Order: sequence, then structure tokens, then C-alpha cells
Amino acid sequence: TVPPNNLPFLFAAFAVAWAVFFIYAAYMSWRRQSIQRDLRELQSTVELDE
Amino acid sequence: MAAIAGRGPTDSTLRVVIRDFRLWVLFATAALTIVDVYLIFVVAPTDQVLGHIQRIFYIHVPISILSFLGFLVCAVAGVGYLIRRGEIWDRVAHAAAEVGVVFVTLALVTGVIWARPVWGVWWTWEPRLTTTLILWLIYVAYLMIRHYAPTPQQGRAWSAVVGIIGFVDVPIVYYSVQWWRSIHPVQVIGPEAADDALEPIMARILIFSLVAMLALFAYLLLERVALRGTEDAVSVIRRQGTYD
Repeated sequence: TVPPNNLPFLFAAFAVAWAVFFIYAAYMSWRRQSIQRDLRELQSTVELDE
Repeated sequence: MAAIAGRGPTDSTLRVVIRDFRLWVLFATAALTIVDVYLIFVVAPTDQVLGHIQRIFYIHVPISILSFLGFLVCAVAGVGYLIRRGEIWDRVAHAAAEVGVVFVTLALVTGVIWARPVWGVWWTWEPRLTTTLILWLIYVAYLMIRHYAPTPQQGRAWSAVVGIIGFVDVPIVYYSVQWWRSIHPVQVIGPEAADDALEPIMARILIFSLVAMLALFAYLLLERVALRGTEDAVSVIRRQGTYD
């Protein structure tokens, strides 16, 4: 049996879980776009340039 | 460069299909999550003994199960890599291990937050918690081996072995509440769960939460595999720039 006033723990658990998932997904998306920019630059460098 | 110049229309079409599929999985995840939150906070009955804190159960259990799934995918892909030495096997193993670590970390965190009001302590060295922490350490080591190995080839091979051997801890985590004296609740899902372990409405909401989390797991896995593919493409070009 637990005391009934445990709502802060409940909301904290949900907030932490969804915040971590959101940050992880956003980081992956941002990093992939950033790397794709690098990739395009590298490809153009190799093509433009004994 | 030949590998890039040689990409045909089929390859680019496949990439567009995969990207679109990933977006659909993301939309499905968002929709399922909104419904899931409604079910958990409004439809699910309040536990007679624990009160509202028991609602953590609806994310804690699916997150734990999906961390097991991540490590299973990692182990299977690791076997595939050691047999076939294919790049895609390694990408999937790496992505599954990383997503699995995120999920098992959250399983520990949500468990700790649940334990404080229920057990009166944030952490106790009981079998389920201890074996789960060991599982977390194994797969963090997996990611570190990939990062710090002398060569990428060694990192892939060594981490595949760790991913396969490390999976042995997953059934140990599942059965720990039966094999040793534990204060953690017994299984409510899986082969060892009793038929009446949960009220029917609670079981149905748990299954729905599991489906919603599975969609999220699939999205994160697809996104991580795509990111690894992009990272590999850059490293190939950088190597060619160095050695051509």
C-alpha cells in the first residue's frame, strides 16, 4: 500500500520517457541532415577536382 | 566514387520508398501515442492498492519488452554479420543495440521513479534491478567497443560477439523474479505470466501500449539505420579523398 499523493512521480516518469524519445529522434534526424549536407559538399568537391 | 556513380534509378527509388515508409511509421506512432495517453490516464482503472502511480506500468512494461526486442535483433544481426560479413547486418545490429540501450535506460529510469513511492527507496540491489543494470552495462560496452576498436572491421566483429553473448542476460532478467527472492512484481506478460495476472481492461490497454511503443521502436530503428548508412557514405568518400 502506498500513500495516494504520488502524482508527481507518475507525471515525472511519463515526461522523462517522452522527452528522451523526442530528443533522441530529433538528434538523429538533425545529425542525418547535417551529414547529408557534408556528403553533398564532399561529392561536389570530388567532382570539381597531374 | 564508382559506388556512388553506379547508383541506378532502382536504388534511389528504394531510398524514397524507405523514407516515405519511415514517415508513415512516424505518423502512426504519433496517432497511436495520443490514443495511448488517453487510454492510460482516462480509461484505465485506478489500481486499488497502488493508486495512480500504477499507470507507469503501461509504459514501463512495454519499454522493457522492446529493449529485449532490440537486443534480440542485435544478436540475430550480429550472427548474420559474422556469417555473411554484409554491411547491412552490421548497420542493423548497431542501430538495434543503440535503440535497445535507450529503451533499457528508460526502463530503469521509469522503474526507479515507480520504486520511490512504492518501495520507499530509489534503488535496491534485488535480482530484477541488478540483472537489468548488468544488461545496460553489457550493451553500453557494445557501443564503446564499436567506438574505440583499433579498426572499424575489428569493432564490427568484436561488438557482434558481445551482442550475441550479451543476449544471454535477457532471459536471466525475465526469469530473475522466479529464480531468486525478489520484491519486484512477477511477470504479467510472456510465457511465465498467469492467465489472470491482470484485469482484462488493464491487459487490453497494456497490449495497446505495447503496439504504440512498437511503432516508436520501429521508427527509431529505421531512422538509426538510415543515419548509419549516411555516416558510412561519408566515410567512404573521405577514405577515397585520402587514398586516391
